[in-house]
Amino acid sequence: MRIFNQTLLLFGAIVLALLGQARLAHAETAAEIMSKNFVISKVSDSTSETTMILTNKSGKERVRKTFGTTKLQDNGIDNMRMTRFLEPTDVRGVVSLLVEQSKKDDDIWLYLPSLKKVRRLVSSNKKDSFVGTDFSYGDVIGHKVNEWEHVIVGEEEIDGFMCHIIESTPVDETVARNTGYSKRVGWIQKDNYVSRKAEMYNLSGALYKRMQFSKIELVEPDRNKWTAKELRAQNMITGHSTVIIVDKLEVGVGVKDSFFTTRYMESE
Amino acid sequence: MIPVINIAAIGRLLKLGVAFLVLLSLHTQTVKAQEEADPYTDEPSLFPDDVLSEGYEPETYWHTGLNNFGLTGSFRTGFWSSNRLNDKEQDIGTGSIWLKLDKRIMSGVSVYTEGYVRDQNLFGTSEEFDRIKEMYVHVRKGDWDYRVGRQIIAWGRTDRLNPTDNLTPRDFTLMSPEIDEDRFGTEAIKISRVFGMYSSLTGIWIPNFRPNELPPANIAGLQFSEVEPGGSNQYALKFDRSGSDIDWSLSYFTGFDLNADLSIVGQSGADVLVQKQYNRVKIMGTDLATIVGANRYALEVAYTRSEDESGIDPLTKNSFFHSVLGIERDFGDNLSGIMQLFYRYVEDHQDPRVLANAGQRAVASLNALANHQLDEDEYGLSVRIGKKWWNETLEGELSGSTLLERHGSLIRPKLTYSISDHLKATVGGEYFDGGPDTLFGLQKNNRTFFSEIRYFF
Repeated sequence: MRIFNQTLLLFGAIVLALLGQARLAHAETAAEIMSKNFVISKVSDSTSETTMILTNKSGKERVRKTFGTTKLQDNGIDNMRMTRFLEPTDVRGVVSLLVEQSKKDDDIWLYLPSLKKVRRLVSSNKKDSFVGTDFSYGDVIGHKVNEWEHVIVGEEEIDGFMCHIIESTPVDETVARNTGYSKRVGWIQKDNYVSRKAEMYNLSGALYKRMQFSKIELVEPDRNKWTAKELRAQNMITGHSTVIIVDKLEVGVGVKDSFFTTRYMESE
Repeated sequence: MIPVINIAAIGRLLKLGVAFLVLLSLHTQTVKAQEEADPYTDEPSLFPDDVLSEGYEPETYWHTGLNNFGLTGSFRTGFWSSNRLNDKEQDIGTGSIWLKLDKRIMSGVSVYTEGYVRDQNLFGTSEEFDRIKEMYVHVRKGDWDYRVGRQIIAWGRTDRLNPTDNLTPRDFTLMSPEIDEDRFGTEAIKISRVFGMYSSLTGIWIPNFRPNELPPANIAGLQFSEVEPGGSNQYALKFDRSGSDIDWSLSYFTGFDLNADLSIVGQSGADVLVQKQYNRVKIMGTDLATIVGANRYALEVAYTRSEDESGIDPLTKNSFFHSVLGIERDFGDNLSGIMQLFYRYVEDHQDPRVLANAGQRAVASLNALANHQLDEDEYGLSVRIGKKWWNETLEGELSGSTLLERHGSLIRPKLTYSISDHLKATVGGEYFDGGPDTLFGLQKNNRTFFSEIRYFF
């Protein structure tokens, strides 16, 4: 009987140890969280109208208005994004087309009405400002998860929602150089993997940008896709800031492929 | 001096606007009904209603109503130390009004028109003129596009130097800091058929001919006149593929040369009477562009078959081959650079400077110089460096071009500052250098410092 009890205890201990290991195995890694964060806002397709308010250190504002469409490619990861500028007058009619490529550099084309031509652009550089805003091209497209090493460094409540705090560092010098960041820190909402806040550090290690994402809505319930309708970014070095307001958003409306062609870009 | 405003030209532009207003009112109800029924049967309107979220009130300007209608424009005034007319005129004031109407009038149908009235010498003898640069109707139906009316057709994937770009002209005398604003359209019918997302075949009929407008040569002993071809049907065909790894095209054009040949038509006293004539050409071209890493590579090649197929007429340009190879690099931090090599080869080349007849020698040499045919081989290099600062409010550009064998060159710095969304200031200059046997050297009188302010509405 004693041997039986000892055997039972040992068995119980092994089962508990295995269960503990299993629980540990199911605890999400930082990379898994970032992978979910990367796709959480990738709706099947969308049309939107957006206002961008750019404010310099002395409070002077510039305003851009755009009309845009997105459509997820067949692989379910890469997006096609078309953005047409409506205001101000000097950029009205400028159209950009970005076709994400998860296995290589993205493709970018730009139509400038003054040139009357579509021009293919170099896309490896993600650190340049997106049309003068405080968001870089990399920030707008999303930073590829496998190009960064991710670590959970804590948790914090943002706007009443518990968030993981995840620190991401570039896997190599090229990624750092192309994005202009030596480190990114993201506040990812625990229950839906949406970004609530982010901080970017420049190559010198100084805090470079701070971003906030609000008015977060479930926009495609059947695919569990969420979108922030107000995005703020501040350059902590220059004091310049940008607010992007999504004025109108329609998701899953059957956007045609023809939007993502040079033919559409050239339509005045 | 108070600028003289070209009332007649403004009147024409206003009439154009009124015509479009009437057209719009006729179609408004139809469009509304169609969009309410199914907004995605075609593209949504490019000019959607303003729907702003709470907390931000957009500013309303005097032109907001015009903009919502699709009418935009700018008032411009500038100072130039010299003009682009190859004369001795200095310290010139400019003023202009530019208008653009870009309007979708019903599903799949849009109208576009752009024009200006301007005075290129506010302080001196007024030089007023007006131009409707483009005015066309664009119809999209399924895989077909139809564009009818005066339109600019710009071809080529290399930077500013485009051997395949031979269909519609440029006004090289226009005093504008933006080089590409010198394009203007020609009446044409353009029909395109797309195949899938990336490929298209375009056919073009140009029943009219408009040549490039060049600065006068202003050479003592030569009096110039011009004759444009009548009954000038021109045709072009292009297959284009854009959107996959490599963008490329193949094109063919049969029509008139945008650049004149010079012929001697008589003598007036000691002066030779020279006529600018536009001869027929056939041009086959190809271009491609691709991205490899941080570099963009572009190649553009064209072969022009001229009327002087055997190359025996010194006053008609010979057939030639023209190519441009370019590399563009994005250095990050909004800094980019483009370097291009260009090369021309003239078939059956003969040096016009050895002609026995002095008058014929002078005219043939000028003709060869203006058409890049003085040498059998012409090599050149162009460079452009661009940089943006302060969230793209300040943009700088330094561009230049040089001919390697004769050392003529052009350097062009330019700085543009966006004072606000509606106000933009530009300063810059153009410095031509070279001997009298180079095209750049011939334009030394056009060396200039320029400045311009634009108010956009």
